[in-house]
Amino acid sequence: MTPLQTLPEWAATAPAIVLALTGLALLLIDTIDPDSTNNGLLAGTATLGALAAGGIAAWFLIGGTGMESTGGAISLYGDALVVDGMSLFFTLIFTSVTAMVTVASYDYLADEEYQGEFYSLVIFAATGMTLMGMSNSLATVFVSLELASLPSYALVAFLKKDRGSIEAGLKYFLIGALSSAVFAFGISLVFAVTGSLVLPEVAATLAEGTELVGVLGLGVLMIAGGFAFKTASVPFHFWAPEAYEGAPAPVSAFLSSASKAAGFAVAFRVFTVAFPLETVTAIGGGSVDWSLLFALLAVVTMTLGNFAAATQENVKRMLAYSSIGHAGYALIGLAAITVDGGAANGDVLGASMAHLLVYGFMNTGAFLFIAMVEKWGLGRTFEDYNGIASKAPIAATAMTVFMFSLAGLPPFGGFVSKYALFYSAIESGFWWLAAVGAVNSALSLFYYSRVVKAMWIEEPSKPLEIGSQPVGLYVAVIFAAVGTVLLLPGFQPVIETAQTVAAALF
Amino acid sequence: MAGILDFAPAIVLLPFLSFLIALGAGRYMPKGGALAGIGATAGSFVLSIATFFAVSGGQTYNQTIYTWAEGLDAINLTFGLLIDPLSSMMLVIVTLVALLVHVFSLGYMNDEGETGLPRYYAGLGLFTASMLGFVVADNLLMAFMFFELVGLCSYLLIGFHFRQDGPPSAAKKAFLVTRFGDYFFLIGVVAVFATFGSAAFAGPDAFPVLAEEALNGEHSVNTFLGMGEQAWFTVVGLLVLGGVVGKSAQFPLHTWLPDAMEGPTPVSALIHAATMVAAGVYLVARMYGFYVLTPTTLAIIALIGGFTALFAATMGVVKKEIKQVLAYSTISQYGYMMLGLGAGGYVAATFHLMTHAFFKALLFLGAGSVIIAMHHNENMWDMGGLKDKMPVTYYAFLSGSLALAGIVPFAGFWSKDEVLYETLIHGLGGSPILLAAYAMGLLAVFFTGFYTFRMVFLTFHGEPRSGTARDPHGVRWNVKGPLAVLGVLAATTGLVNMVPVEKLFGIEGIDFLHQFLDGSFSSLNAHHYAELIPYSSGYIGGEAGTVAIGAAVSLGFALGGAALAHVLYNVPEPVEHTDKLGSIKTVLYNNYYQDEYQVWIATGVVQPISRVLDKFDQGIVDGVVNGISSVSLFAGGRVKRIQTGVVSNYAALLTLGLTALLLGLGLLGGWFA
Repeated sequence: MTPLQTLPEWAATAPAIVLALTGLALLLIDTIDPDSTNNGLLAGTATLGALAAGGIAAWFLIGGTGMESTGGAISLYGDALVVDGMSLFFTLIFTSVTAMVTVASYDYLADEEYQGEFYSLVIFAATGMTLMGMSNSLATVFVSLELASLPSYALVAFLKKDRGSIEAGLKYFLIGALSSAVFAFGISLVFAVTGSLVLPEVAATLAEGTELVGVLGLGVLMIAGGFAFKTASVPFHFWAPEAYEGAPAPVSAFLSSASKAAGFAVAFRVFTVAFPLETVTAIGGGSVDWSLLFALLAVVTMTLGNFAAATQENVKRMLAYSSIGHAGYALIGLAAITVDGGAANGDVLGASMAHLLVYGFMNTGAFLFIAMVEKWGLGRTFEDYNGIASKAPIAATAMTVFMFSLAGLPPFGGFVSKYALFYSAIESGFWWLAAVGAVNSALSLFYYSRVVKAMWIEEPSKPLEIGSQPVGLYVAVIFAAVGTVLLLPGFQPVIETAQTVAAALF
Repeated sequence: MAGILDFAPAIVLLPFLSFLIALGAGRYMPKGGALAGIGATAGSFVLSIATFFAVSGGQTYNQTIYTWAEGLDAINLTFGLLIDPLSSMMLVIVTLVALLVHVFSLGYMNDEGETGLPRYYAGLGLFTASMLGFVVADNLLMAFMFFELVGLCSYLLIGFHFRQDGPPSAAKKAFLVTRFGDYFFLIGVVAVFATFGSAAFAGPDAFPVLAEEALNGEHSVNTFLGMGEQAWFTVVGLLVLGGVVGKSAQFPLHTWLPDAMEGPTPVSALIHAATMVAAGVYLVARMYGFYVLTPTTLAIIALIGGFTALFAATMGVVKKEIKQVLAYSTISQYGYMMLGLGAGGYVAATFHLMTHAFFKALLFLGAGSVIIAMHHNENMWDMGGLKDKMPVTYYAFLSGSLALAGIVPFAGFWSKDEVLYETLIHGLGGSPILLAAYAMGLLAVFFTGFYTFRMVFLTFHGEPRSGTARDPHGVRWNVKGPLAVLGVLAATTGLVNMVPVEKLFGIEGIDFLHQFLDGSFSSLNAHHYAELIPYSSGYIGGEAGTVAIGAAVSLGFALGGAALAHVLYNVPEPVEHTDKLGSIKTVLYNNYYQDEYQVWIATGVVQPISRVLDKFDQGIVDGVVNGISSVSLFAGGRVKRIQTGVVSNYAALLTLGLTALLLGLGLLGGWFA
């Protein structure tokens, strides 16, 4: 029994539709009662919508919608959208992160104005991300990317009376505008070479050959730039530390986990479908070797992210850089693709996707812990974290899980996902990439363990006062911690699903 | 086939259960958990007897119980049980001695008001269980693991009185010295796996069988270091032998054993008779099918054995404390077993392992009884005249001493004589090395007779030389009972394999042990080993003549030693004659300076090397690590500086980065052509 036999084809986009409707419903609630302080209704609606969309995606994924077992990917609206295993897998990441963020925001925003706007922006951004995962045409890629980005700018600047938040939002917007310009220019160049925006058609045209290899190369590079912005990869990463630090912590969690994953979702599809490596590496007497480009970006991104993280004094900023480092690891998924890779290509891409899922839990959890600390008003530096474990042992335990999992230590999900990623990179012959990744992971242990040391070992310099026990934040943090731990024993089905749906792209 | 052998795992598990009970609930139980231990070992003993008879009836058992690491297309690591005549005999010995030691401990520990009894009985239980697990191990890795457990338990028990100075230090020494040997054993285990892909003792994949086939060219194995099969097997055999030499206290790793006398006396009995020290020799017997393939290893085993036998016996001659004498006698007797194994006398060595277990347990328990009587004074020069005060102990001890000295018809005579006989005939068959080993073994018989009876006369005969000796502390049934049982066994177990009688008088079929060890897996029985032995036999005046001459000579030496002891020490007021030895006395007192040179090796050779390595570690390795971290932090600081906070800088850098990528990739990809 598959959903396809009973549902019309357009229903395959149900996760995106549910999210969009949820966003509209939130606006409706806000319109009916604009001055409401009923935070619970808004947060509940948003969480429910995210969970419903995630549930549908999981149901489709188990049922085999858009996968080979039920007749392959479902193309909709003149091939502008496609629903397949990969888009559903990423939808699962976006919606679970969104749910955690909205639950946590219930406490974080308790005293803020414009709550209805906040939740609807989050949900609209999530809709955009879901559409990014489904985009099958460069036009929809651009539109959905903007749909995800524009709410993000507003969200970063959400604390209107906080200078840091405003400044971060403006910088994010400026860099975003520049990147969008680069991206749109790249799309136009590719269109100029191939005469099409639909990804499979681009590939088909390129297979016939072209003389304009330089134009194509520039276009591909600029498109890659657009994705590098979304995933916070070098050299488009400059916005990330500022935006993550200035934004409200739940927004930082949202951007660094879901938005980054969305960037990867669309990058994976565009590069593997529109620019197949075997075609573009031998075209018109030249070569557009994007695998080399991403290998370069991966090494630089993970090294820069980790080195910069090591010297931070501010925990949130440290996490911002660590999230840049993790973008470097995830880029291995594209960097380790080879012309004659065969099954190994699907394996490494799937491993990268599985890592993004695990990362979604541990990184969101870490930022939400910071949200909790901000809520307590303890400060942002490592010293301010001294002795937290004595006051809030459960939350500190969860944070310890996130830190060690981010560093890639067993027995947490981050260990096995990073292991699978490096292992499949070695299988593809990129042992040096795995080696750089391993060295960087070792370095990352230094700054992650600083947090753990501060929380558990150091004595607080001044008496710690922890006011409330925010229920929503606790629920979200503990949920993320449990997810991070359970993804170790439960990693087998995750990686198998990811690698199967990734293999379908080649 | 459901039979008694299916209960074999229980033999190992029962003492382990008693360990858990004593550890967890010992303090709430009467006698500090002793009864659980007695019950468990008694149960194991009954099962072992049943197993023994089942094996006598021709049953065997070789089964994998649990695979704890499954190799994908490589090696499986398993736990399994191998019950054949050798292991079933050893099971009986170990469980019996363990049972008697438990009972004896009631008198030695409980009645003396020792504290920490649950810990003591937990240690005994685990010790017994580890040894039994080692005995029934069906592969070398499992044997190694239990071998290590045995070592751990001996550490815990030797250091039982941890609040005093001596015991913890002795325990540490025992642990470290045996660990030194085990290090080679571990490499040997890995080498066996690497060479054969299997470490099973029996069955189609048994590594001795594979080795035999490899030497016959029927099967290929991995050899390393560019060696041929024969040479490589010799290396592997010697590596494993490292563990044996450490555990069985053979020269030069024997130094831990005399110190181990710091442990409670029942523990010494267990260590010397049935568990720790026996483990080494048992291991050689267990994988004899492998050793027998490499003549060089056999010759080395024989030489180590013969030399140790003589060397330790001479040191036993001058000791003042009763347990020290016994300690050196143990080293010496295990030397005989190694000699027997090295000289191709598999049955003889196994025989001696059995008889020695009984008479040495007896002697230690007897010494324990004397020590109780003497209020824990172990100096023989303070004893004397105890014969009339404690007759049961005296007669039992005498029985053990006659066995140890090798006086006919006590157990030790038959087994020691057979060891020497096998060495002699194989030596005469054209192996001069064995003749040298034989000479050392024979000479050791004289010293054995001497120190044994010196000990007996000083302890029990003559006039009491101290107040406590005049009025000794009484002992109860729980001491006398085990002594009586072992006294009878020490007198009679030799009768199970009266080879000289068989050969001299032509009575067929009284070599029961030999027949017993013949009935087993075809690759594990004495008959198979006899075919593989690389020695030929030679005789003086025919087989019967050689038997007669050999037995007469060894008995003569033993009696000679005993007679000298009688002359010197069986007088009402014996005096120390050691001064007559002059400078030799000093050498003997200091145990040939064995400890001193080993300490010198540790402090004079190893320590400077360690210092250099430490310098290397601190300076170079740590320096590199520290250097990397400071470079990383420095680089991190630089990276941080790129992030100026000015958004136009970011835009510029972004554009520059994109341009750099464009130039690089474009030049590589020929975009500008």
